Order: sequence, then C-alpha cells, then structure tokens
Amino acid sequence: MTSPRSVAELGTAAAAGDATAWEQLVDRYAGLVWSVCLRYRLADADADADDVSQAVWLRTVEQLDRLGDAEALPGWLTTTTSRECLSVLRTGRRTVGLGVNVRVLEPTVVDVAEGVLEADRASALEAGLAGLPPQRQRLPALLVTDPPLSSTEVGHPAGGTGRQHRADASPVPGQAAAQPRDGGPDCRSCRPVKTWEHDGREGGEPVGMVG
Amino acid sequence: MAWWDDDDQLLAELRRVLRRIDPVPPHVTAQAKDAFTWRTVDEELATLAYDSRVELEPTGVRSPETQPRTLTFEAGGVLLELGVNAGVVLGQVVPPAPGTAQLRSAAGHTVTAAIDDAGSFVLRPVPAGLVRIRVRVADGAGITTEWARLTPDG
Repeated sequence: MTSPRSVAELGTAAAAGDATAWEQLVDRYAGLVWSVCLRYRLADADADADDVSQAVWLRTVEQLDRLGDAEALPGWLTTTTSRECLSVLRTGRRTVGLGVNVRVLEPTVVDVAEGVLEADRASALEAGLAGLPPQRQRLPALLVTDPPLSSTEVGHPAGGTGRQHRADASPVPGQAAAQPRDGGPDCRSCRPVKTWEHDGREGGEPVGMVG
Repeated sequence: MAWWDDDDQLLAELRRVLRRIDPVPPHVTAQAKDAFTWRTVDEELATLAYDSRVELEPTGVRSPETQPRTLTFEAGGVLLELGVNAGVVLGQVVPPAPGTAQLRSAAGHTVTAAIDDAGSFVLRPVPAGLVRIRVRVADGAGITTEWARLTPDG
C-alpha cells in the first residue's frame, strides 16, 4: 500500500486546484462530518444531515485558501458541522451563513480537540480495515452492529460464521428471548480477525456485544 | 496504555468508525466531491454580516409578515443588501454601480439579472436550498456571497 498523503499535503494541493486531492480529503472526512451530523439527532435526520453535509463541504471549499494550516482541517470540519447542526436545531429551519452563527451560537457541543483525535484514531482503523480481504472487512462491522444482530443475521451475511453470536440479541417482540440454537454463545468464535485478539487475554464478551 | 491495547476502547473506536463508514450515503459523498467545482479563486468572498431572521430570533421577535427578510453580505468595502420575499430577491449594491448579478444554486440553477445605475436588481425565481449570488459591477470588481438559503423564513 502506498503511504497516503498527509492532510497538509492534500489541503495544500486542493487549495492549488488539485481535484483529486480534494476527493481524497472528502473520502477521508466525509464520515467525520456525517457522524457529527448523526450525533445531533436532527429532526429530519436524513434530509437535514444531507443539507448540513453539503453546506459544510461547500463552505470548506470556500475556505480552503484561508485555512492556512491544513492540519486544522479536521477541527474546522467538526466545528463547522456542529455549527450547522446547531443552527438547524436552533431555528427548526435550515441554516444560514456561518458568520452569523459564530456570533449567535453557544460554544460548540462537540469538543474540537476530541474530534481531531477521533479522526486520527479513525484513520488508523480505516487503514487497518482497508488492508483486510473484503470478506474479513465485514466481520468487524457485524461485531459492533447496534442494535446487535441475531445469530441468523450474522450467519447469513458472514457466510459460514453463523455460530451463536449473542444469546439474547434482537429479541422479536412477542417471542421469548432467543435461546442458543446452535453451539451456544461462543462469542469469541465470532470475533472478527485474529489481529484484534490479544494473546492470553480472556476478556469475556467484547464490548460490542453488550447492548 | 495506548487506546488500541485495550479491547474495550478498540471496539468502541471500531464501532464508531464502522458506524460512520457504513452509513454515509453515496450521494452525500458525491455531493461533497462536487463541491470542489464551486471553488472560486478570482473573486472575493462576501460574508454574511446581518440576517434579520437570526438577529431577531433570540428574543422571539419576528418581523411582521409584510416585512421581507433582509440580509447583508460584505466584501472589501462593498455591501450587498438583499430583501427576500417568496420566490424573489431584491438586491442593492452599496456603493451603487451598474453591472450584473447572478444567483446560482448548489443544484446548478442560475438566475441572472442586470444591476441598474442605482445599484439595484431583482432576481426571480429563487430556488430552494443553498444559493450564492455573484455580483460584477462596471469597474470589473466581482464578489461572490457565501452560501445561504434565501427563503423568507430562512
């Protein structure tokens, strides 16, 4: 795998007109923007988050030249997305310009520094996931699905790993809590990839299994 | 201990990452990439300096229905004042100068109008969603507003 360009390199290149660099920035941070949107639980979640995301990226294009230190981009995205979301929540309507929001709104709910660290951790994990074979990439996703999947749901998409995933996962209303149906609740057999495990540790259920 | 050495933390991070890798709808990412085509390099960005809707909001006071929403954008000593009614924007450039005003929506619609000698113009129809207005006056100076939604109630 070629080493990815740094945020600073991408930011500088995009500001100079490099569309590919811009697309790489979007690929890298679209999830950050989106996750901040989801955190605010906007009323019309999909439409509002769509709108906020678009507004954030349009504003980012406007500000590319002015951002200076491109390393600040994740923080800028987090803050801008928070402001746009708060604006939507505050007015119950769609957002207006950033300048006004800066003056009117309370300090952001989402901690910028934490947002940046989160983006860094996410980049590391995304890089690790991208290095896995496609079939393996799906397993971590199944492991941490919220709400947890039933063993049947896990078994089908994962193909051949349908061991009992969690005894009481996703009980259907009106149906008794699911009992282990095949082989008992052996969650460690469902753990995604060897590399996530630590030798000699018996950690019980992974946190992702706890509802 | 680093965060990746702790199973609980690692899985918490993993869950966060996967939650946001998975559900970003493709059209949202595509839209974000398209935003780059809106890059302006040779025009000054006019930032929103005033919006009657936002200014009045904290006290719960609303301008009467008959009063249009007003916004002011500013760039390099040029003011662009906008009055927004349903489907129409009345604009005023300060200081007054003739030229051209063009409204463009993020969806790609454009509306163009002449700016008269008194610096005023009328744009209609006004599309929903994010729009920006580019003003070019006789002496050649051009400014482009930042993105905003120009509907009467914001």
